[in-house]
Amino acid sequence: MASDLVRAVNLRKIYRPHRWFSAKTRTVVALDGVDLAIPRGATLALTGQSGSGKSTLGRCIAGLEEPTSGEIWFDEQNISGLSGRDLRPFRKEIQFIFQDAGTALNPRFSAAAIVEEPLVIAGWNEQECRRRALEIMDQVQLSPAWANRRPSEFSGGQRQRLAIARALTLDPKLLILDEALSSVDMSIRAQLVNLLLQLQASLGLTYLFISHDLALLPYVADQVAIMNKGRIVEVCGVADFYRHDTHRGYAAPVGTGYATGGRWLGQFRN
Amino acid sequence: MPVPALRDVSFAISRGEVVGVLGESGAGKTTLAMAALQLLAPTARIVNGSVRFMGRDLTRLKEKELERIRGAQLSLVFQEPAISLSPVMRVGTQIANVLRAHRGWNRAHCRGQAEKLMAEVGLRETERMYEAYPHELSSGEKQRVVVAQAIACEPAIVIADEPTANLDTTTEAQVLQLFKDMKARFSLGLLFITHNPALLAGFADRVMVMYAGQIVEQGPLAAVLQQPLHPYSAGLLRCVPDDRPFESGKKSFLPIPGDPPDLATLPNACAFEVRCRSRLPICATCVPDVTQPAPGQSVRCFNPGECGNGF
Repeated sequence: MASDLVRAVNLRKIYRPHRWFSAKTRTVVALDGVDLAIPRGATLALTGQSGSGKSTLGRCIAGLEEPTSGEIWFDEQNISGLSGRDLRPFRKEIQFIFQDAGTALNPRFSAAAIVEEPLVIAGWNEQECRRRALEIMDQVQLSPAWANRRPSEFSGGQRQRLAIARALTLDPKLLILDEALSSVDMSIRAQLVNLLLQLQASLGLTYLFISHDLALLPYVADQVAIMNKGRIVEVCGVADFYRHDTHRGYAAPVGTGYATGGRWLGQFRN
Repeated sequence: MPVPALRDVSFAISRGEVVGVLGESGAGKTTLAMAALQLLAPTARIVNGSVRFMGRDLTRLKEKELERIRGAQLSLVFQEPAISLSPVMRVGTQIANVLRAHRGWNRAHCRGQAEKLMAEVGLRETERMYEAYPHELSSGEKQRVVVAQAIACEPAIVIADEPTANLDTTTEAQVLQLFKDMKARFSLGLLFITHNPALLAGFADRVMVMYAGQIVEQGPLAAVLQQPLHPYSAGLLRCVPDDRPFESGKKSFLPIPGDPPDLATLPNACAFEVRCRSRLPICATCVPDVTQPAPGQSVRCFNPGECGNGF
């Protein structure tokens, strides 16, 4: 459909792990014929057990992994066969945010240098780069006064905001958030959720939100896709996902998700 | 320049009791655990105060005496099981070594006891598992091994520092259940440190909320969760996702604004003042003392209870 920003068609990814001193080759089917569509401006949450292929799917769409077969369509163009120079214009449209900003950011770069690096590569002049970097830092609620601080001088939540800022530098259309909120405190998580929603509203971003924390999904997602053993077993609206226990059937192995959520607190709620 | 990581922290914990310590990163939760065990980094100094454990002041004991207490009567479970265990030693041996060090039994007996402990913490095929190296275990299994080490000598107090952080939600629930079982089975006192209030529900007896190195609120679990007195406690509870968001219509967060303060430049005021929704003019002028607005519930705030229910 024209309204979809991203479509994955029959995507397969097979790993053949290299094993020293072993003649046997074992193959791992990480993605087993995945079809997925993310509507423009919406948030699709991708959930499932560890090892179900959520991250692989995200990485394939981001171009960090090459699918074994299948097609990825971005903005009505098939980008699955592209590489190098041809893929470049799409790389800036799709940005990735990792779980641990502490390891995703270069510790020797200043905050502003991290945010402006993509522009430096794109050939912008120094002043323009800095101006844009500070503008984006402001958008993610990082004070421009901190431009010269290094990642280690920021708190966990601030670092994750810095990672979001860097992802926004090139005006992307799609953000892939791979467990981006999983390693920060509850209080920071709530702040980041609100920031992401605000950015989505003002910039018209589309999110692929990969998470095993079911309790968080109603706050961020429009649709939920559940993965199991390399396949998407269910796609539904987020309200349906929570309304029907049948949908939770798949989600149950995902875990209690609710461990972080209100189920345990429920008894104390008025 | 010295940074005050803990300021005027006083509390007590007894056998058979679970005390939850709640707070954001940087609030001083881990420093508190390390100070209790006298395991602070060489750069840290206890300026004043004492840690009294079974009639002895741990801050005055020699390292040799501390070694006999740590891991035996007072033990610690760290956040990251992968780092707590030696990667080059079989996990069973690592449990048996605790027994050898403190009990002085022979190897065979220690091994037998270690296998029993492994079964106790829910590890299966203990004989085979005993021979495994940490990298062969899942993170949940590794954390079970660490718990087995911690309870090996039937300690009076176990301090668990975010034992479920970095575990996926399924494993988190399992490890939490393990701690609940341990609470029921042994009469140990457990100091459970976490940033997630939901983990404490149905588990902790009392809760201490920490902010900027201070205990800002302390009280029975139900009281703190239902009627938080400190605006920070109330703010933390508002950050917990609702489990029935569509029924309750609560589909957005009202997070605590701003960031935790820099401990090196704390003002002579309530440390939470700048982020507080119910601040008074007095809050910016001096540090609030501890008061007891409700029986058993103490708080460090000039305007306690003005934040309403956390939900």
